[in-house]
Amino acid sequence: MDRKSAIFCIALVFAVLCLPGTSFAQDWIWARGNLHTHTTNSDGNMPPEFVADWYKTHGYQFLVISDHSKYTDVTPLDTDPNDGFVLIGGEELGVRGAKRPIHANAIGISATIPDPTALTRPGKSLKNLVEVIRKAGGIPQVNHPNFGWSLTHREILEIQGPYLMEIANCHPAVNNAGDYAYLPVEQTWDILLSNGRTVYATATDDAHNLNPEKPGGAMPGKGWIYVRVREITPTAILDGIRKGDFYASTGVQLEDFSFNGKEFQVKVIPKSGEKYLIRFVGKWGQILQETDGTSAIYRVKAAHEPNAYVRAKVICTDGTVAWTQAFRL
Amino acid sequence: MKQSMFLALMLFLISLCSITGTVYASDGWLWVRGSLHTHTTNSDGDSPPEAVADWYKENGYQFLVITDHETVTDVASLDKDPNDNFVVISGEEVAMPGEGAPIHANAIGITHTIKSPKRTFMAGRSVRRLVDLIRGAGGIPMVNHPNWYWALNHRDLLHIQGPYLLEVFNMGSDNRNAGDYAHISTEQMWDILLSEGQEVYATATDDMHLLKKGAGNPDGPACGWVVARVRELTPTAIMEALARGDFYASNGVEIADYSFDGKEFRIKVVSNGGARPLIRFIGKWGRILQETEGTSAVYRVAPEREKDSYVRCKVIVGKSAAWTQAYRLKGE
Repeated sequence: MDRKSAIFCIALVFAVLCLPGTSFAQDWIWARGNLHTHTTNSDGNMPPEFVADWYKTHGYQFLVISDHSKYTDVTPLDTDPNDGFVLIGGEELGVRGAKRPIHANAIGISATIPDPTALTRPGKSLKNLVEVIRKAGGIPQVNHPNFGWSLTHREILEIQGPYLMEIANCHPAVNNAGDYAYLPVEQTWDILLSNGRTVYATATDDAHNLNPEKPGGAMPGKGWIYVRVREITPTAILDGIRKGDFYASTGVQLEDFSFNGKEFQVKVIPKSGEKYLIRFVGKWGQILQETDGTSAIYRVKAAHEPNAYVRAKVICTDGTVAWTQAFRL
Repeated sequence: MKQSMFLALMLFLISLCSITGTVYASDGWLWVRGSLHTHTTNSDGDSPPEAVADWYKENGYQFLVITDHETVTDVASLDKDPNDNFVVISGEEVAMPGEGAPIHANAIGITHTIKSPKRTFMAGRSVRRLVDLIRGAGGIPMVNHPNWYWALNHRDLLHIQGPYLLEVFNMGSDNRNAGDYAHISTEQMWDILLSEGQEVYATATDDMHLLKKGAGNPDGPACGWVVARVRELTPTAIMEALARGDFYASNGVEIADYSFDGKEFRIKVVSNGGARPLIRFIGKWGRILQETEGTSAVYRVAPEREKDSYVRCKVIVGKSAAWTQAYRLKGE
């Protein structure tokens, strides 16, 4: 090999190494999981074994079982440590005596947490509920705030972050989009972020009906999260969730996204025949930029207010979306 | 009369005049309620024009715009009594035939049918063409139900130059006003347009097709309306109020009065004795500036502000709401 071609080869190797994305080179993966699932241990219509098996055989890497007011033991469900699928213990807690349903998931617990009793105001009850979950070692997720119109932004503002909040609970009766009198949950999230709260958005199934013979209602496979992990273990997944290193999806898959303080990059794994819109959203829900296509870069403007942030939402022409978490500026 | 009694009486009269709301009443302003989007048997409505006009006249309305598809319904024969406290304004709902989701706009106040223009490749250019055509014919343009079949998004609407009316709250049964995961709600769409500097006046309408369904039922009458501020109940005065955006939209809440003097936004709600009103002031990008519970509220403008800032007010009572138009804040 002469000197010229040697230089060329070295340059080529460098060029390949510098390609966007390759620096992440698969020492981590996106693990797909559902954070909100019911079984026959509460008001779900299929037993835990069936539910776990459904998710395992439908492209998920993890599942949180969250029966109402009851911890479902997941150890007997997770028999094969090498099947690339793990179960995480959880519970959907309620508030006893509350006028409207105030629900939160405790993620990563191993024993039932008793439901707390209602306090004077819904906001106070919610705050207490989240604290009870944290004290028991669980990661709190505020569930379906618009279900029964139970929690407004003013009430949720009473909680301190970080916590998870369902902005796309895919149960058909939870009013995610709001109405003339109530805000959409996505706008509630922007209000919380704009007030400086650390809130991680989730999409979940809130699955109750897994009976293949009677489709309808709250079915599985509609909303989930992808967590960035180095290995498929409950610990790694819980760590990823706790630090907000995940995105929520109803069907859009991202190859990667990153923010270095100046540039927010998003890259979509496209479905064939579909088009994508990448929207960058800032404080109070302001649309900062919209780019048609499967990748986009948003460059942060120099001056910004306190509590400013940027998040990305990717919208597919088939109606599915993905939401990244918000990055603070 | 003793001097002290006279003074007390004067003070009483002065205090009466200072109550919010009475200012305009004493100035001779009237709030008049009207429907801007109404079909009859001249297109796909279920009832003849006479029955439709009678219904609105007898159910608390002061004006009605009849907007049949692709045809101007003659309103002269419907508005015979000049002293009945009810006027009918002619109009047309104009569509754009061609490929793609339906683009519709109302031409309010026109007297001759506008022929449907052909749409162009882009939805945004098409709707701009439609709005220009309506203006050319002397009508006030109202872009209808933007989320119906997801026909028009905020990027399409940014092609139009204001001022124009936007049917933010079409109450027809398939309006999709709330949007979904992939589509922005019509109310947020309106805030985006305002934040981009557009003059857009929000309307609530029945898009009434089925009079026989009865009041408050989707596609029936009295689901959404506007209340305009006029000095006299004439088609001209109403058209002028619509053109300058001097009206609010409602699907059930009545506002006694509101005003903005550049520093303070004052509003007073008519209590219906039911749920306690929530008065929300909204600014650029839909930001909630202030929320007050009760039947009246004052929002004081913060000193520093960005370009294209505004303040608008939304009053929520139970499941219903009223929306004022947005007032621009003057830059520093």
